[in-house]
Amino acid sequence: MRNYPAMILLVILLFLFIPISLPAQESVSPTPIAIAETPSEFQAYDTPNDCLSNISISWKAMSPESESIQYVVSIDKSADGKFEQEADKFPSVYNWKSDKEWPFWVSGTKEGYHYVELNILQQFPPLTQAELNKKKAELQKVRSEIEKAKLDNKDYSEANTKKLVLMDDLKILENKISKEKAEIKAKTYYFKVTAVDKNNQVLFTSPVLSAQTQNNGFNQSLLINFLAMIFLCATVLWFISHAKKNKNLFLRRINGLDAVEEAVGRATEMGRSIFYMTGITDMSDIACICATVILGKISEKVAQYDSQIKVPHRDPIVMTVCQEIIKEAYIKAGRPDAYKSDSSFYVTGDQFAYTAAVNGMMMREKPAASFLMGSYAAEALLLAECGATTGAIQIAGSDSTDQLPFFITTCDYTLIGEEFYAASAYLSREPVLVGTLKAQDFGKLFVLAALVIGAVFSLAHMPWIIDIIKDFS
Amino acid sequence: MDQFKKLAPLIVAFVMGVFFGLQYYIPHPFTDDLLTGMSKWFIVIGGIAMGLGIVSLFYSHIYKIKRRAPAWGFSFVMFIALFTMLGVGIYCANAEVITETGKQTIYGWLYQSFMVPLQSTMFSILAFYVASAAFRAFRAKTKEATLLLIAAIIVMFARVPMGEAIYAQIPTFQVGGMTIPPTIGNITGWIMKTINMAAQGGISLGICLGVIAMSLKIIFGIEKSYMGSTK
Amino acid sequence: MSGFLKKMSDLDKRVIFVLISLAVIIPLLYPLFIEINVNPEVKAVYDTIENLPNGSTVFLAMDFDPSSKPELYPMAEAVLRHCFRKNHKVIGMTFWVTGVGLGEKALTDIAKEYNKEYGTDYLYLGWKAGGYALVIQMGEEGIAAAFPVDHYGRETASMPILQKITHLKNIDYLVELAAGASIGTWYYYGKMKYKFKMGGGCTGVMAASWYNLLKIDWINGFMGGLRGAAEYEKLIDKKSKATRGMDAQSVSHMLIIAMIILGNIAYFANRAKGNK
Repeated sequence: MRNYPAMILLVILLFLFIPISLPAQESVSPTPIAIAETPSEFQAYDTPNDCLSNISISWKAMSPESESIQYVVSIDKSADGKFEQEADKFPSVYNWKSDKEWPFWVSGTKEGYHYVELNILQQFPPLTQAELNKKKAELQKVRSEIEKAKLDNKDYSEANTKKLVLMDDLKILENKISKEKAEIKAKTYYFKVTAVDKNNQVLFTSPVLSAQTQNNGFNQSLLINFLAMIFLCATVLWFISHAKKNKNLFLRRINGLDAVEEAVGRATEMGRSIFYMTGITDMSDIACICATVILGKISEKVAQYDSQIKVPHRDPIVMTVCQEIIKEAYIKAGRPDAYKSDSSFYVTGDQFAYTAAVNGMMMREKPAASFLMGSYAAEALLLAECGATTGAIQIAGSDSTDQLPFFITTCDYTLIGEEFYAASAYLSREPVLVGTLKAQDFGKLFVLAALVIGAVFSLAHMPWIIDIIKDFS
Repeated sequence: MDQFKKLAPLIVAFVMGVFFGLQYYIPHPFTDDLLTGMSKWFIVIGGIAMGLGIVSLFYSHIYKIKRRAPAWGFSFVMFIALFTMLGVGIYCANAEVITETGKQTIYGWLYQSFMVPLQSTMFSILAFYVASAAFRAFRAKTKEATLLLIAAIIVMFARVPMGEAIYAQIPTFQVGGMTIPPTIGNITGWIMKTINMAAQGGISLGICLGVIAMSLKIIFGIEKSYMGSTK
Repeated sequence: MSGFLKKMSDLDKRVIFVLISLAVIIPLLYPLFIEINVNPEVKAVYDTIENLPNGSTVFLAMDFDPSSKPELYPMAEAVLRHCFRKNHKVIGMTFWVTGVGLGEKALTDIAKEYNKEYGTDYLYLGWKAGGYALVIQMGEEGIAAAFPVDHYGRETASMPILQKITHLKNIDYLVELAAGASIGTWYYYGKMKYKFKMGGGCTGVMAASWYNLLKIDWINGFMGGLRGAAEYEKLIDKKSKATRGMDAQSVSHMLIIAMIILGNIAYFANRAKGNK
């Protein structure tokens, strides 16, 4: 007779025995990664050359670095703190000092060092910031309520009072927040760098580092830039003094500027006006200033030839400046009676409205000459082509490289790039101004030399030489 | 007094020029705040100067209407547009109207209905002007003009799908890993990235040096014409 | 023949204008559906957005006005469609006060197509005066600090989209659609300080100078003019306004080339006749 209970017991025991006898699976707790060389040379310091509240931390990389190892940078306000706040965390194969664009005299050794930059205000934002944002949003809402009440002819005195209270609160908060920021930046902060593996097991912990943000007085990355600026200024001043002694410095012919006299003479013969445009930018743009300077020279010739000049403007400040320039030019030419105050007038600030207005004027008046000097955008071709249609002689000068092709195809003469900036010196032939042109040429030579040297040393893999001529702005 | 009138702007230009030139090298919050403050003052001055511009506009157009100068009717149109937008902006800027696209303020509707189409129309005139300028200017009169003509035709041809489709009909051969003739995209790319960039770089270099020289002339008071004085 | 050549060399501008009108209108009415090849600089922008993990944040600076709308608006639409398809979050703004409505329209229309929720999936900050100071503020103090309210007057600090993306350094990619020189502002005060990736789009006229920016790593790619927009539309497989516009551009370019060639033939023929 078969012993069924015994057989069942045997099967159960077998099922119990088999799992026990299987080889043990891999344990959940991993074996630690072996580090041949631990990270070293930890440093924390105020980030150089910045206007921000940043602190930099750098250290020499460990060996081997691995994607599975992560660095955790913790920050605390006290050296004895728990360092629970994680400022940054990244795999150990990233964030290298060599990625940072610093010249060698600022960064020191870059190869093989990790680098992290922490903004203290982002780590410890002012407590008042959130409140400030909320108040600003509230103020905006109240302002919209007041506008709506005005339209609906409802009483808004309550909303107005609320607005005034909110504005006062905002002023107080803004003062508070700037004081708070200054306090936050003035403190010393403490950092720890920890290396952890993928299971967050700590492999290494750095000693506690400390640093404080500081305001930097000079951007050392721009040292070479600064020296080059001093050198260029000195060159300009030297050539100016040299030009005063030697009044016959050579200038190559610029056809566009030689044609100015011809253009003004043509306008006088035909009895038609001359149009002069100063571009679309305002007096903060050097090209506009240059255009006004050339206007002075041309206005003098216009006054001498007893012709008529019209200068439509897009900017009211430029208009007032040009009015004075034209007046002075007429006085200098001995023709103050011929000056018309409405020769320089405001049209509109809108780009295409200005273009439409000036085109209309050109089509009606059919000027004999048209000068387009300064910076231009899309309206360049519209103005130039319209002028070409009227049969005017056109001379353009612009630093807008995008629009130069249009000027070249539509205008009789075009001053390209630096020819435009050389115009005032060329037309007046004043030794001092010609001297600055010479300085410009010297500057160009200097830059060309830097290009050649840079190319040679770049091919020779000498990065420290490249740092001397590189732009670190 | 005359001397002071001439000297004061030069002193201001010198001090501000040197200070803000150095500001670029000083990463201190004080200098940054000053720069931001200056930008705000510039906006304020621009606003004040706008008043001058409007006065100039008024006088020139009223004078045109009085004298019945050519196209004086447009001066009337200018006044109508000016006072309409001014009136709407002051009295009922936020009043809403319902249009096909939904609710809009009256001011917004006027802008969308008049300014936007007018601006687009002016911009679209460029298409015609480009054609007429190209037809007139691209003549092979000299060697340089011929080079310009060839480069322009290649780039114009390659920048449109029709040109690429036509060029693709030309049979190509592989010679040592190179496609002969090269694709029109490669030719255009070479023109744009090599020749164009080199030319632009050269012109930009000259412009930058010109700007530096001009700025130094203004800062040191060598160039005074922008003040109105040619002495 | 000589009469024709003489007429060609003195061709009235109005004839050119009529021909150009026809060259633009006819292809718009009767599309040609010519295949567009994609250039590497446009592909670079597409690849960047495509390879971002789903749910990344793209900052779209729509710095253009109605006059540049035909070229840049289709770019905005194409980029938005791509972003929303990949479930990326989009924050939009503009430096041009005249372009506020355009940016808003693009965002709202495309977001509706993909059933995106305002405040969670996309946000429109609108326009605010400040220029580079605004960029610095967004980088230093935060986007909510620079724009306490959005274009519609709603508080931004509490919006879900800005809970994780607080500062400029948190954005994954910035696409600058520029009709002017605002790319410099975004680079000097944005990318240089806060190290985010940047790509762009510009009008056709500016495209020639943007190759320089590509070379010096200001941008990793860009869309140049209507052609760039059409290429992007091809990449996202949604042909729209830019692709339709390319047919008109194709025909008008061919017409201009034909007129230039005929003009030169006429010029040389008349010159030879003059020499005889």
